[in-house]
Amino acid sequence: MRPEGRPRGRPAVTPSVDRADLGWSVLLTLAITGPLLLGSGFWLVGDMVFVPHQPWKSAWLGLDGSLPRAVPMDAIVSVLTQVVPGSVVQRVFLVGALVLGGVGIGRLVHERAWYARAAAIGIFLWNPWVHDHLQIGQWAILCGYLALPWVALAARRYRRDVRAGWAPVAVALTISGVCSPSSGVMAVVVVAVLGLRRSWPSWSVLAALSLVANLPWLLPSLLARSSTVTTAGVFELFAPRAESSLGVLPSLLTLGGTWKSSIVAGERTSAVVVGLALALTLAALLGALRRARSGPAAAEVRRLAVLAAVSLAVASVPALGGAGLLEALGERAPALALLRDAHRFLAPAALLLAVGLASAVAWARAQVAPGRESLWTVAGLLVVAPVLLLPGLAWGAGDLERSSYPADWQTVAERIGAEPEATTIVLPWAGSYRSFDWADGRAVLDPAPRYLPGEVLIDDRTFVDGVEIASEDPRVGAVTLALGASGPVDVARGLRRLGVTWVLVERGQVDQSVPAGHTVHDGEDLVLLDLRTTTDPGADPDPLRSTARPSHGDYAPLVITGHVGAFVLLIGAFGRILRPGSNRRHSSRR
Amino acid sequence: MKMGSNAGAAGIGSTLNVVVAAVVGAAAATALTVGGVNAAKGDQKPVAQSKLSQYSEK
Repeated sequence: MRPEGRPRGRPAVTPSVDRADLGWSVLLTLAITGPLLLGSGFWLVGDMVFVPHQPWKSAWLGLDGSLPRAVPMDAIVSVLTQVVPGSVVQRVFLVGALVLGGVGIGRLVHERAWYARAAAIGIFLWNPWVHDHLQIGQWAILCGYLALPWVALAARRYRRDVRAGWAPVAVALTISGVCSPSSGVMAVVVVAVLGLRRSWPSWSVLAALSLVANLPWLLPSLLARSSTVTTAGVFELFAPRAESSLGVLPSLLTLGGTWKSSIVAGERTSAVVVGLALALTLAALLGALRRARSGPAAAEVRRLAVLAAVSLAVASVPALGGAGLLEALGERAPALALLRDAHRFLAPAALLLAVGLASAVAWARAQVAPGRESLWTVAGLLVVAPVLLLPGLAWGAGDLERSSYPADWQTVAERIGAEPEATTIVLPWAGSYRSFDWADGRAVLDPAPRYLPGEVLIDDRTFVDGVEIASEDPRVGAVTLALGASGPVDVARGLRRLGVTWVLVERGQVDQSVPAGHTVHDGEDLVLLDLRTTTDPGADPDPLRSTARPSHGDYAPLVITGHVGAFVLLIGAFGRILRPGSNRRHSSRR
Repeated sequence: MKMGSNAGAAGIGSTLNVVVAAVVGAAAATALTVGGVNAAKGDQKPVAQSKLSQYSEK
């Protein structure tokens, strides 16, 4: 029997990339990232920090004892920027991930006609979740989201046959784990819900793959004894928020509801727009319900529904009065801090909406008959509705502009690079986010640790709506104490005792007195001071360097083993997939 | 009688087409108008300089 919405003659299995899916994905991607592609410079916003050449540091592998927020993604970016400029790396990651995400969701509903697949691709690439994570600068987490269709495809294969499916699952899990810890965890949950069977090999193989794939961030997290993670108040602070007067639940049901209200697309503050988006979600859910009743994909859609329900529950708990409970649990299990930005865990729900919307469009098309030709417009509206309801995502998520680093940054990087073993601190000592006039005044993570070589320490406290989230790095406390000394000379002396050589002052930020030191560079944007020439560290130096921290010396071999393990798994799994005849055999087992 | 039945079906079909087209058109027009106006309104200015930069700011 011909599946609903699939034209006659179309094969049931389409392992190759469909040109219509590719074309639509590319079109949507260009509509989002166009401004980035039309010139030089970077998108610098929130946590999205790319630099021309990111020097190699052991911290990128999680060897410095700090919490591995971007391990091993920073290592990959650092290696890539040794070969190509960081601006190219940023474009490749963003554009490549968006296109692959679109193609992946198209493959997940490959049995559908092109217009139904276009609807699935549209809602998956063009929704508030994507907008908000682009605007918040969480590009690696966005990449993890865009990998989810491939995770689901791998899980589908794994469910059919563990022996044939372990390699795609291994690749999907490793890549997700590389994107971010939360992406790695989400991918494991997606495979568990979609791919597990009631058999010992199914569970044990997935457990082993999940562990090895996530070792690169898991081991540094477990061994980062010198860093502390705080859960006090963070669940409340980062809880999803209502975008419109309709409340937080309609926002979440339409994939919106980020905690960062300042970046919400203007149209999402309208109850009418969120209401119409809710109608779109309802159409997708009805489509999913219809698909879950019968047919070969019914069981998978039911599992996707479970996954979406879990995602919605995790995302909504802090917003619906559960923040206190999470905080209490977090005091006993600090790993729960991973859940603090609950909105991101809504990501797997987009899979159900995409599959459901494709089904709804196929249903609308199937109803077209003489006298009911206008139902074509229903199908058409469902395809373009995601774009109509979120014009703010178009052309740079509304207003993202390219920025270029002033020449001062390269000058200072070269000066510090002459003595790569030196330690630098960055002033003002006032949190980890900056607002540079050359970067459109946006709040952006301080680029100094990624731009400058050597040990670069910033004040890693985070301020959210006037509330301070405590530092995770014990070295920050020591520097804060030294900076509180009575005069510039005493401050410089205190910093020298901590092993600090350079002080970088970023102009145009909050005012802060600077320590006594020799001015090596005095530019329009940056000032670099050398503390060695005017001060004597005195007795009992207590260096800040991460090489003195326990995790580096004692646990480095273990952490490196984790990286090697994940890398070997990735290469081995790729080799298995690319082995001649492997794909054909897998496809025939549908 | 058959002709009458066909004419009736055509009439219902025509009405259905008009109703569906009107609903779809209204939904699309509402989304375009309200979304477009609010998207334009939502163009926020960069934060002021010389103050503490917060993660929560745009």
